[in-house]
Amino acid sequence: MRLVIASGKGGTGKTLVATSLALVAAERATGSDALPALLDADVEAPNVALFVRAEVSETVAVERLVPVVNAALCTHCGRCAEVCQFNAIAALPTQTLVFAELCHGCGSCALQCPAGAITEEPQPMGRVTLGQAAGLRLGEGELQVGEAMATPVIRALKHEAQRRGWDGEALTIIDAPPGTACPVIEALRGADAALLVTEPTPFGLHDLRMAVEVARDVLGLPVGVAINRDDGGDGSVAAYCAQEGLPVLLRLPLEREIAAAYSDGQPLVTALPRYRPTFEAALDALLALAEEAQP
Amino acid sequence: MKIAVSSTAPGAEAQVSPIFGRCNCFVVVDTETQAVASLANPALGASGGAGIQSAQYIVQQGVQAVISGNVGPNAMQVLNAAGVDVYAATGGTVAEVVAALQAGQLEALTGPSVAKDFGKGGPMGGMGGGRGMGGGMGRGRGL
Ligand code: SF4
Ligand code: SF4
Repeated sequence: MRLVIASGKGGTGKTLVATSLALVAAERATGSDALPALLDADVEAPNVALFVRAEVSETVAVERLVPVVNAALCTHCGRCAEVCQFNAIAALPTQTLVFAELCHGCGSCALQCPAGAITEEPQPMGRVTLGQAAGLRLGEGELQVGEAMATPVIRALKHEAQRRGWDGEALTIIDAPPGTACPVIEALRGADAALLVTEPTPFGLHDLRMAVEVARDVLGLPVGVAINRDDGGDGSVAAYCAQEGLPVLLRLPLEREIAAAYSDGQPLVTALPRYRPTFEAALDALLALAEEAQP
Repeated sequence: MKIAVSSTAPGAEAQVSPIFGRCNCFVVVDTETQAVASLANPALGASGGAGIQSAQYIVQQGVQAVISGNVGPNAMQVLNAAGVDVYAATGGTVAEVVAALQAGQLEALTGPSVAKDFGKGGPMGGMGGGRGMGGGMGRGRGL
């Protein structure tokens, strides 16, 4: 079973929700074969490890292919720069420059070079770290600074976890990157249900709508909503959920203690055990939502 | 000498543009013949790599020097590789900045004067977007 915690924008409390759900799941798991996994797919700024400390057991490099021009073969015809949709190549009269950070690895330039001067060579773009904490398997994807494309690192993270059988019978919780672009779609793909974290503000509502569009409308996933910093003020998020038939599975109040635990790097259910039943109920509801939708 | 000026509009009386990769127009002035050619920037609508594409385009015009308000790192690298000199001009018309260059009054740029994507506005025209990267990426941790 794979559950993804996502939100339309950063800073809504996605990691807070994901870590506490995973810890609650870990407490329940029995027998080491059924260890739940928590994957940090927010690869541009992974931070799950700040809350759940783990023993690293493996690090896997993630590479991508970038074109390399053999200056001895290049005839400076300019074809490569012409075919590149991303302006990643400058073909100058006596030199051909490749800007690797703009390259999307489509391979067109190598394919089209009439002189066979371009080869594609692997270049590191990030890494996947795998480890274990008390009762929990942990995976983290990290995009190297300066790299623009998060999606391949997220794909690698999911793949490495799957390859090790983390998925199988046990529960996997994925902390998705914020937003609604390609990296989020990659994190959501293959999920059994998504929990969308938002705030009861006009901005929160706007971002929630966009996240619902991606998770429910585009990917067809069962979707639940978590309302964080719920001060009972703006009811528009709750009204929207009611109107769309989206179940609100978790509500966390606007509380100083919650913020303090978070900034201390403490998972909420560890710092404030009184929230444990809240997360247990949310996890059950999310699992039920996912199961209902199973064929 | 052929000089390309990044400009806000065509013609020698147009203002020099503060940006390079996404300027509206390049005005190429041939100081020997006094010929003035206004070229639309082919990279204006590019989603990325505008500086690279426009710099390559300018190199193809066979210019020896570029005058612009600012030049980003990628464009600078292309212009440097092609041996094109780059000069900064904060204001004035194309004709004025070309005259200033000939009089030796412009500062030569050797490195980029602005960060990447400086002249790249979002669909709303703003320069915002993204989110903070705070939170400390300490490495002294288990995972
Ligand atoms: S297509 Fe090949 S030969 Fe032509 S400029 Fe590019 S690398 Fe050189
Ligand atoms: S692989 Fe594709 S994106 Fe990369 S430089 Fe070549 S044509 Fe451009």
